[in-house]
Amino acid sequence: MVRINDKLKEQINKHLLKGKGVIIQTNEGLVIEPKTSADKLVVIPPRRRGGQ
Amino acid sequence: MPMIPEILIPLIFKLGLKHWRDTWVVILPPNYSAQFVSTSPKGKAILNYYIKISKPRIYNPTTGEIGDVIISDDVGGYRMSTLDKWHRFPFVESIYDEGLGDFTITGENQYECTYTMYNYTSYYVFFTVTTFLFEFPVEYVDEIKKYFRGIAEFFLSQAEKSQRGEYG
Repeated sequence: MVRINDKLKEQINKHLLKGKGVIIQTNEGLVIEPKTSADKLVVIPPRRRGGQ
Repeated sequence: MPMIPEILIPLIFKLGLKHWRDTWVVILPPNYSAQFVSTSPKGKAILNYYIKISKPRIYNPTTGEIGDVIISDDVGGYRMSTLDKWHRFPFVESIYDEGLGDFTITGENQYECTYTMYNYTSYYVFFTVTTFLFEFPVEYVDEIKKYFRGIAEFFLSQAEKSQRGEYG
């Protein structure tokens, strides 16, 4: 069974449990944003690791 | 792993297109749909030539576990861009096993790509999306379109010559 770590779980659950979708990006370079303010979506920018 | 389309290779060297990939981790709550747009930072454009989608899996927000695969057209998306008709892609085997060949250009507001993601199941759903991309200055969009038009015009002119019997 794959399990995401507690820190990330906490970070995404606070949005999911309010009925919002979550997109976690892995790279910078594309701009992703909800179409309107009514669209319940949270975009989490890439976590900075390595050479980013 | 998808191959870079050979027709793009002359452009890579002529215009210095930069190749990269982006992966999105997507988690959707039950009975959900929302629209979002994807574009490029100011001054940049992106040519997307392939998309790979993972199998959607059930996410348990209490334990953080990612479990069984859901095979259902109740999870999926819609997509539209300048070169891409508005269409639905449910996350079923014929989509996520093979991936999606693509030819979408995004760059500033003129070339944004619009998505809807939906999850009409009663589960929290986890999946990933990887896009295969080339990045270049937005001013090159016209050059790239000209390149493809030039190839088409060359072959059409050859076909016309052939029909006229100019090749014996």
